Amino acid sequence: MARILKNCKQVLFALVLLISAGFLILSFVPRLMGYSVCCVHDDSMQPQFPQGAYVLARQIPFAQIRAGDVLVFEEPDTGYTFLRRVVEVWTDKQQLVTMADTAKQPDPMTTAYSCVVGKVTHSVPYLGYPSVWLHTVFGKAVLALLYIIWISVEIEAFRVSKRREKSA
Amino acid sequence: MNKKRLLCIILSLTAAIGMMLIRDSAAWIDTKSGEPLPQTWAVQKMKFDFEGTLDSYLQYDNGNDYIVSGQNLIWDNGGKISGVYRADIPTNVRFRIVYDTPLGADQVYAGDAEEHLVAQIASGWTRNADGYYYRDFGAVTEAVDFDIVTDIHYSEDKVTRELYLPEGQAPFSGSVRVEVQAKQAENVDWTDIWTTSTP
Repeated sequence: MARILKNCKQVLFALVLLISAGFLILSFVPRLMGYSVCCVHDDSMQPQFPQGAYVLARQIPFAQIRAGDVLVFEEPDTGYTFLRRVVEVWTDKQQLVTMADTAKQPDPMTTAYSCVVGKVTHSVPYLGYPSVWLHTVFGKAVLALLYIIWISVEIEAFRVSKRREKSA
Repeated sequence: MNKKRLLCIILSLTAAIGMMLIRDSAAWIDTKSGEPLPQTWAVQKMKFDFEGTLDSYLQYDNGNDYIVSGQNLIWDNGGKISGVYRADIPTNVRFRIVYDTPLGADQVYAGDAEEHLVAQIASGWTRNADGYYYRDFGAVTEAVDFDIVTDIHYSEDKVTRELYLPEGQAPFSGSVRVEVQAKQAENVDWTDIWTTSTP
C-alpha cells in the first residue's frame, strides 16, 4: 500500500512538473521571440478562433494591415484586449473598421491603430483554456486554495520528518 | 522541506502566474479612440447587382404555370443569369441551384448526367462538395460583369410523361431556384444576397 502511495506521489509530481513546464513555455517563450500572447475568452471569432484558443500576434506596421486580417487590440484606457477581423482600413485617419466573425455587422466604432497589439500569426484551439479559466474569479480561488492545501501538507510533512529525526 | 518539492511548488506557481499574465480577449469592445460608423455602412459593403429571372413559359387554361422540358427557364437577360460586381475589398461569392423532381424535393444541382435538371454554369466557377459553385472576386475600382448560369432546363430525356404527368393523377408540381450568397472575408458568415425562383 505504501509503495502504491509512493508511486502515485511520484506520478503526480511528474505530472505537475510537466504541466508547469508546458505552461511556462506557452506563457514566456513566445514573448522572448517577440510575439504577444492572447487567449480567446468568447466565441465571437468562431470558427477560426473558438473559445479557449491560444493565439500569437506580432506587431505590424499600419501600411501592411489589410481587410481580412485578424488583429489583437488593446484599449489603453480600460486595458481590455479583444480579437477582431479588419473589414476596412481608413488610411487617412489611421482607423480600422472591425468586425467579429459571428457578427452580421461591423463594430459600431472604429479602432485606432494605436490600439493594435499585433496581427494574429498562429493559433491553437483549446490550448488557452487553462489561461481563460485562471482569469475567472473561480479559477483564481481554486488555484489559491490548492496552493494553500499543498503548502500546508508539505509543511506538516516537513515537521513530522523533523520530529522523527529528533526521536531517532 | 524536500528541495525537489519546493522547486515543484515554485515552478508551478510561476507557470500559473505566467498563464494569468496572458492577455484575455474580451467579448465586447469599448473603444474610446475610435469613431462612430455611419449607419448605412454595412449596406454599402455588398456591391452586387443581378439580372436574370427564372420563369415558366406557358400557362394552363386554369392559370397554372407549367414548365416544358428542354426550354431555358431563364426568360430575360438574354437567357442567362449574370451579375455586376463593384466591391472595393475582396469578396467570396457562391451559388447553388435547387430544384424539385417527383423523386425528391430540394435537390441540389450537381452537374451529373443522371440529373433531371441540366444547367450550363458560366466559366470561372468551381463546384465544391457542398453543392455550391464558388468564385472569388478581388478588390475592383470599376464594375466587373460576370455570368453565373447561361441556361437551365429540365432534361428532355429524364422528364417523362409517366413520371411527371402520370395518367389519372395530378401533374407534378415543383420549382427551380438559384440562390446566391456572398461574404467578404474568410470565416465571416455567408449572407444571402439574391435568389430567383420559378413561380
